[in-house]
Amino acid sequence: MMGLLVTVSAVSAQAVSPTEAMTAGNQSYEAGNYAQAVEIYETMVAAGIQDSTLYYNLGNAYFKQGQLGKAILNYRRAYRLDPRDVDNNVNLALARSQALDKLDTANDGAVTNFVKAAEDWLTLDEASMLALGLWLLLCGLAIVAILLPRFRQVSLWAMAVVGLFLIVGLISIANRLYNDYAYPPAVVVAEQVSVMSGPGGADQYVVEFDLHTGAEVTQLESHDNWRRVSLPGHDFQGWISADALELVNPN
Amino acid sequence: MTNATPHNIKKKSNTLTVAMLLVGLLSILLTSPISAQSPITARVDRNTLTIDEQVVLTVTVTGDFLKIPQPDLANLGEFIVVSSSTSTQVSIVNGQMTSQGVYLYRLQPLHEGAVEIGSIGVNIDGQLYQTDPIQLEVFAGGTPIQPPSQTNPDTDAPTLSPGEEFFVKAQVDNPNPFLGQQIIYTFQIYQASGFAFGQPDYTPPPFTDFWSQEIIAPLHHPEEINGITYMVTEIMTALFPANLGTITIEPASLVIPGSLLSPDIRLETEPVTVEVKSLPEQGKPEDFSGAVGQYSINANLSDSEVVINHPLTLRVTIEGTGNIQTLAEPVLPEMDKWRMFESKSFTDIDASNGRMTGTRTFERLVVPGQAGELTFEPISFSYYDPDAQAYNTISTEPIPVTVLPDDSQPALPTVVDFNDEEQTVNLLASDIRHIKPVPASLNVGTALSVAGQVVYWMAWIVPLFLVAGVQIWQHRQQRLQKDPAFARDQRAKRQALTILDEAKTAGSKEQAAAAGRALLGYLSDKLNKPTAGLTTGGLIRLLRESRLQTRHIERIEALLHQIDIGRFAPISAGDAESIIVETRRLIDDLEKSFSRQRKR
Repeated sequence: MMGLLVTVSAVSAQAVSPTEAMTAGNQSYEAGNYAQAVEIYETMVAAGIQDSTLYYNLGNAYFKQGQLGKAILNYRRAYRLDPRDVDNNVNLALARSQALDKLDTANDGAVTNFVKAAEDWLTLDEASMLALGLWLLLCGLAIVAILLPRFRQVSLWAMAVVGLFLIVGLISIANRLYNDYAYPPAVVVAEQVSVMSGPGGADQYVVEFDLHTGAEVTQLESHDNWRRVSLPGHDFQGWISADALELVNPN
Repeated sequence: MTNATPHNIKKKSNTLTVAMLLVGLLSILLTSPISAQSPITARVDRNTLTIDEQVVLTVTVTGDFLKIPQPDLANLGEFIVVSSSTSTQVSIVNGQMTSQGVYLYRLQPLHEGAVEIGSIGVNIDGQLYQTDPIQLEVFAGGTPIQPPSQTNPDTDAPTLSPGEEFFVKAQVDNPNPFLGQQIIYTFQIYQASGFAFGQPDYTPPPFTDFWSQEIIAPLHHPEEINGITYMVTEIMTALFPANLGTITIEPASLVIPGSLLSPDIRLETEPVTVEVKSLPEQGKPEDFSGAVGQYSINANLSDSEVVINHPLTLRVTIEGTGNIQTLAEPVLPEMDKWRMFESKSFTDIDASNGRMTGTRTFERLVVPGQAGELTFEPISFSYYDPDAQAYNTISTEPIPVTVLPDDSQPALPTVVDFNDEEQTVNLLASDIRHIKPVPASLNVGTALSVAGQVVYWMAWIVPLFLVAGVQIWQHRQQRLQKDPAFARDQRAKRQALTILDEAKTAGSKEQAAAAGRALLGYLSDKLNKPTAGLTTGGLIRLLRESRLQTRHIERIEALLHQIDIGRFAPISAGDAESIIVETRRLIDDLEKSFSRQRKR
């Protein structure tokens, strides 16, 4: 079990196990000391622990502190690891409802919605393992079709169905991997940020619109200390300061 | 100053008849739509000037339009526009919108003599409105300017002593103001003649200890001093004292450009002293933030109905006279059912009438956190009125808001009480769900997901080989069943070696016989010929036809000869063993040879 250096008070620091650290964080939260809970949870995240429960509790602590952007960011990180966690989904929806910028996504069509529904149900790793399982099943059916001629017809039909699911699954995985790499989702954590027409301040570019904490965007590219972002479902895009947002995927 | 009025309201009065007709006409006009004040007026700041000077033409367009139309300056005549500026003002009073655009044009005459600024038109909703032409007199450069009413060509102008031709003054309208109270600093230029070599350069004092705002559009008027008529130009600056005590305003200066033969003339005013009083402590409200003047306040929300957790825009407007630009935002009342966000402010000031008036608007987003009939509580604002010498606190009206529940949230559950009456559970407030306990094991994240690892994709390749292997095996099995020659070819070696293995424990003659059966059986299987009736000669001939290498055929002949000897003559155990060994080697070599032959 790895050890963590958790600063519990301003004057003392001790190495504890992740379980002990999270227990201390939960106790701080229960006592209403949300700032200390955030500090402990963030220390655990910085130590490489990526657990949906940890992100969920961290989102709660930020929410109680009134930091809506950080709360939504950590709820989304928890969602990546466990999209079927009802509690996390409820809290994420509540936090989103309090965000100032209502960024409703457009209806993208049946295939895209199906892929999104799959993403809402399975993590990337689960989808990957499911796809591998479908591939093994497809190969097994092929062997049956080869060795047992009387089951060949049934096997071929089964292969067609499994193959269809496999193709959709692979498209979904490829889409998620590509988006994670090329268009990573991000959350505005600054209270308010001006979206500029270029990677620079107001002395060079114009303010195209403002975003507020908790706004969920897609990062398109980086340029020095500026990030080009777009709003999902909208044509709006522009540049904001790098310290005003954080990527949902911390890796 | 000369005012030009439109044609349609021009009036004349010479005789009683004409006057009566005019009265009748005016009474008709007053009841008709066009009797209203003309939407366009024009005036100039002077009607006499030298060829070196410029005249300021002010065109005002007034109406209820959203976009104020531009005046048409096509008939300027002998003038060119040197510079221009525009100011617009839109006001809504009792639901009635009034727009006013003031266009200032600095005009340079092109010729001396009597010149005319032609009619200036504006097109409003397809109807053309025009001003009267304006007559001006342009003199040669350096000619003393005197108002037309004072001009007497038969009388010599009084002789001017040095320092009398140009001089400047400075004064304030209130030398004893309160802290933050507006005063007007006026710089006056007295000129008995035109400026011969260009426009003078005015340098205002630094106005340290004041917040200042220059009032545009200098005023001009004639003034007679000691029998000399001066044209007086007044440049006014609104000042708001920022410090207490005696403050001295440094001299302002004016530099009149000279010529090659005469140096520039530099004129300076006397310093002006202002004694700034502190605001009284008695009766000072707690929320007083330093505003001095006369103000009113109102507030509104962008909508009277909103869904819970959706934002509204709160707009608080303070209007009045005073230092509008530095007004602090009123403190909002504590309201736990509302969340407030950062505000933005907008200022609209007007200093055209010599006083700083205008509005300062504060906008911020507010979000209701509870459904129901809510009220946005009154917002207070305090200021000191220097005219009344008292503090005033004014407040906005309470703003009622209907906050609707969010339909996207799950429907409220219902419960059934012991009287079997269905009741709705009222959701009093929404909060996040509680934190989770520490899980049995915490996941240490990896940089790559499963799909990003090579091992994962290698796992996809293994089943492919499995399927391919099954397919090949199945194909071979089918051929073995359908093709006897292939089947004999495939099992020839195995059967031959089996015979040899079984002969290991037999006697010498039996071993030689077994070697013979194994070799002949192997060769007949390879050649797909029956073993029965196959002679050594026939076999050799078939082998040659099969293009087997000669050295192998010779080894076969030799071995068959040894086997015949072993079968029919006495043979030692060692020789029998060597026959078995040689047979095994030969079969191995033949297998390789046939295999190569098949590949070719």
